[in-house]
Amino acid sequence: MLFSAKNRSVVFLLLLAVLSLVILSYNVVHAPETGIVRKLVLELASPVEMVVHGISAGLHDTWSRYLFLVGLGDENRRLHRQDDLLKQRLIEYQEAYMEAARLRGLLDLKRRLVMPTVAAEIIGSSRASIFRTLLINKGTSDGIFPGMAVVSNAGVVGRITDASWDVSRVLLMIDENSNVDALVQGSRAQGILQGGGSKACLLKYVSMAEDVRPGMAVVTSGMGGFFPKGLLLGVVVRVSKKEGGLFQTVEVAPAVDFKKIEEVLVFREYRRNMQ
Amino acid sequence: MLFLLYIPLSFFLAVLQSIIPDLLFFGGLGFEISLVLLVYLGLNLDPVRGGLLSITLGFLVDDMSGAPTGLYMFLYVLLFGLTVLTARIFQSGKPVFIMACTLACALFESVLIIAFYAYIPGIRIGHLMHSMFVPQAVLLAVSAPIFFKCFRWLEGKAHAWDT
Repeated sequence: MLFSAKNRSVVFLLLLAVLSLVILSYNVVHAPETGIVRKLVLELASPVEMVVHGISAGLHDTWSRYLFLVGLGDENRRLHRQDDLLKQRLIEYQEAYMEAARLRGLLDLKRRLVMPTVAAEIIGSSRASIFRTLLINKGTSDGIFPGMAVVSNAGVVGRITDASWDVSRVLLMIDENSNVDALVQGSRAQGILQGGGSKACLLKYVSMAEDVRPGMAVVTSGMGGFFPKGLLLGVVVRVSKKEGGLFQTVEVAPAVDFKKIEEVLVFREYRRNMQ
Repeated sequence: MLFLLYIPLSFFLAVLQSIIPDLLFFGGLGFEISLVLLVYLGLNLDPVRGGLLSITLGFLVDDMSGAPTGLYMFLYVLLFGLTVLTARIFQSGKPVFIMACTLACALFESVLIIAFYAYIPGIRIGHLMHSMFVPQAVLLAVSAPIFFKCFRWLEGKAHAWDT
């Protein structure tokens, strides 16, 4: 025998480590389309994510109402029960009104955009790890593929990184792995907008000579191949220039509130056109 | 074949850990329960079955976290190997040992992730070490003995059902 029984397990583990390194290298260098197994896992996970997402929204709602009611007397409780019924109805109407307003905004945006888009709902989010992503309820069966741009009526959300048949994962523009070719609307200064995680995004490689001031809008430049030109990314919040440096540091607050986002649009054709 | 039951458990944990932190910590911290399972496998399973499970678990975590396929596969195989080695040297099931093992694994994993991203141009996540990775590792280590009890209970139930 070439290896003893004890060494055989070590060799086996080494082989597994080499295999995973090869897979990692291939994926980092080639960035292929989402594989069939990965698609299957995403599909299987989406119902669980949807259920937990629903439960979390319900718990949040219940908790808010509990806090609202705590400390009231018996008499107030009776009145509040009646009040709650009316409030519940009002909340339902408000929710329907807000949903209609959001959808109207999305529809307006869809009309403004020349390129074909697909509307999708957010069904899950992961903002805790180093990868800040969202799950949407549309996939390859709706014409969505990795690399496609995702926007809301407030601005750029991110781009698709994985797409299974009915579910896709969106890498948010605030993720530190996200880099978007951008320009400052007022001065036309160009740079790369990198996500800042929980902090503000950074507009990198902006020359010291460029006139960039807080309050200026930052939009997509149309270069880089993923996003069409002119989509709002955010607003400049701080500019600092170090003496002797080549570039200035430009901090940008994202236009989209990622905690409140519920519906998005995916540019279906743009990535293909670029290819 | 009882060890195959770890695959659905891994899937469940991979999904759960992508959602739970958002509920508990409002996106501020992660909670990698799959790493505790990995340490459990390292301390209780033989290298061949444990190795296969760790690479599967790594794939599921890659998929659920949105990491490039292979990153967590490699990390988990490596950490599993180190845990097996540790288990052979120390052979202890005490909570303190479990906590220390989990803490070491979580910190080592964070260092490797930071090192991996240091090689990718434009991405620097070193600053997350003290603000995210260390608190996550401590939280995971403190809760690891409870999860070990849960895994043992599940294993016992599955074994009873099998026999």
